[in-house]
Amino acid sequence: METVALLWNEIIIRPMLNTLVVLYVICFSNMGVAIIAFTALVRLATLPLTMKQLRQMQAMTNLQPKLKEMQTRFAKDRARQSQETMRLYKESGVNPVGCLGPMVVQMPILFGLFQVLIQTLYTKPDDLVNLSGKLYSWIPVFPVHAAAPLNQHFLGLDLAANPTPLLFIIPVMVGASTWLQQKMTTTPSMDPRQQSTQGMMLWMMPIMLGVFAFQFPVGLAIYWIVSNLIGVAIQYFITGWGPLFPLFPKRVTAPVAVLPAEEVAPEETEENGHHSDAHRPNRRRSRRAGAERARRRPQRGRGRSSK
Amino acid sequence: MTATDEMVYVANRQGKLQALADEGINGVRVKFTFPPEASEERVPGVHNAPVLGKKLLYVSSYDGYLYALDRTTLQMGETGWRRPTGEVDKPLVAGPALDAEQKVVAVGSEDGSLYAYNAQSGELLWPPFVTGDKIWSTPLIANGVIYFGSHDNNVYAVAVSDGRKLWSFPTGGAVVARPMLIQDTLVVGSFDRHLYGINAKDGSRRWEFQSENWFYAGAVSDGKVIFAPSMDGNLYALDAGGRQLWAHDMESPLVATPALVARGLVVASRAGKVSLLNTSPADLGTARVLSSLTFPGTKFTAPLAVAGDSVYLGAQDNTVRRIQVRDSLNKIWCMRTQAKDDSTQC
Repeated sequence: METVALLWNEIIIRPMLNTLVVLYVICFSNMGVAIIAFTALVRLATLPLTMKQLRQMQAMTNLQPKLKEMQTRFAKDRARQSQETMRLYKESGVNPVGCLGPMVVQMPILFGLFQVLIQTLYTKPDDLVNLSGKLYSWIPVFPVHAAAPLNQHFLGLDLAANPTPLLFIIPVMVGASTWLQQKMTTTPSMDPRQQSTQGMMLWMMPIMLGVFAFQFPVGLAIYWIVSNLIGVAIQYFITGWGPLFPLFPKRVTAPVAVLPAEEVAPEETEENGHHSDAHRPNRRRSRRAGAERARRRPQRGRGRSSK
Repeated sequence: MTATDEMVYVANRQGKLQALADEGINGVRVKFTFPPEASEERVPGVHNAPVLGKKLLYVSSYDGYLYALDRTTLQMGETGWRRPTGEVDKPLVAGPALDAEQKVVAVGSEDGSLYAYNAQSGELLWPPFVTGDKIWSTPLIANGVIYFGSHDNNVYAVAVSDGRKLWSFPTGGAVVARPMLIQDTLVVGSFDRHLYGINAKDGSRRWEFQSENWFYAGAVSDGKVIFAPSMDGNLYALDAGGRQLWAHDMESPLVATPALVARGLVVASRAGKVSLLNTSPADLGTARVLSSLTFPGTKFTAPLAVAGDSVYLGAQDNTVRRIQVRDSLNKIWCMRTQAKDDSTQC
């Protein structure tokens, strides 16, 4: 256990903490600016993982109509359903747990970052004493030892203090930015049950983090807000503002019409499973036509899917 | 924490100040508490050592107030006072300093100002002396001058009589350690990892000495040798000219100011190690340690207090220990200041 603690300290905590202090020195001893720069740096360092994660999620989202169709088509044959689903994943180059990998890699960084901010934003002399043992003494250009105690004021805020009721705007901003990022990354599911879960999560997380923000130093809230906004910007470059609208979609209560497999236009899906923007008008047209055909021949569709 | 032969005054970080009657090998018992146990009132934490006057005990608290309490009852009574009189929003981390001759008590605040009061009446003597940042450094009053450091990286000398600035000395980091005088040289450590020797009269630099980490605790001296504890884990012994005589590695950061006793120097580390060191200038190597005790898991952070042949050590876990210093270190008693039942022994 001691070895784990030592490794955690030496590999995650100390490098991150010293980077933050170096940024503090570079940013004219302004802790608020240092936290913003540090957040941007961490997001930049984890950008390849974030991009991979977002692309996997996008690919999974694009496969949703086909998966739904597969589930309906092989509703009574679980083995076949699973087999066909795996085949679809393979053909589309999608790893169903692929989006979890980058997330798992990022978790230690996030936990570490949380600890680093707590340790840097000290309120009592004892906390400052803890900090001294974690600073590198060998950084020649940036005297990190002389930088402490760090100036913790930013735009009139004490970054080490918890937000007062008067500063409720900070937790509100944490909640709002979390909602925005979640809204951008969550694409509405076609399954009403999933849709309901997604809807709940979309509100639960921001409210929870907003409440947490009252319990933690303002500096940590600034990290959350900046990190969320950068996340929104990254998402914008991948999907545009599309997923954000409509802001408050109506919940789908009736199951959607399902097409038989052979009626799905082959040009809808690219080899890698992504739908390019150029194909979107065709896809919409094709869906409309498919739905029309399904209405005209309801019995045939039902007959096949209930076999 | 501060001690006399009969009484030990202990302030903990949870808001209680206690006067402990020291009964030697029979242990220790709580004689007075401020605020009284029955009271809901709290003094929200004391970081530095209280100071004893002839009649009053001076305590600086995180609530931003300086308390002067009757030392025999630990109550404000008719002679005690609390300053400032109005609302405050910044804590007092620095301890008070008393000039018994001139009847002045001075303390620095996190609001960046140094306050000087009449030690008897609590009257503010002159407008607060303002520095550029927080003050955590306990002042030293000597020869009519108040010396102290500030987070603004400077060491200041201020006249006791009128609060006039005599000089300031810039360092490369925050100064939180208490300054110390040896002859006419003011010795003070900084977060820039240097210990400075400053001419106490004009504030000019005489020498500087570099260690591997902050100088957080104050140095002590026997009049010839300076003993400076560093956060790099070493206790450095320097002559009055700032030349290193020897260093002893305590293997963990030194946050507590050491104590000089007749047998040598008692040093306590943040890893719970207490050593009695031979202060002789000769290079004694491992023979420098005359005696040593270890209290695993105990972080000694409070300045060591001395009374008679004993040292009193306060730790972060709210324990207080009396250790008798003879040919070796002998633990006399240990007490938990937080315990509400009979389990005060540790």
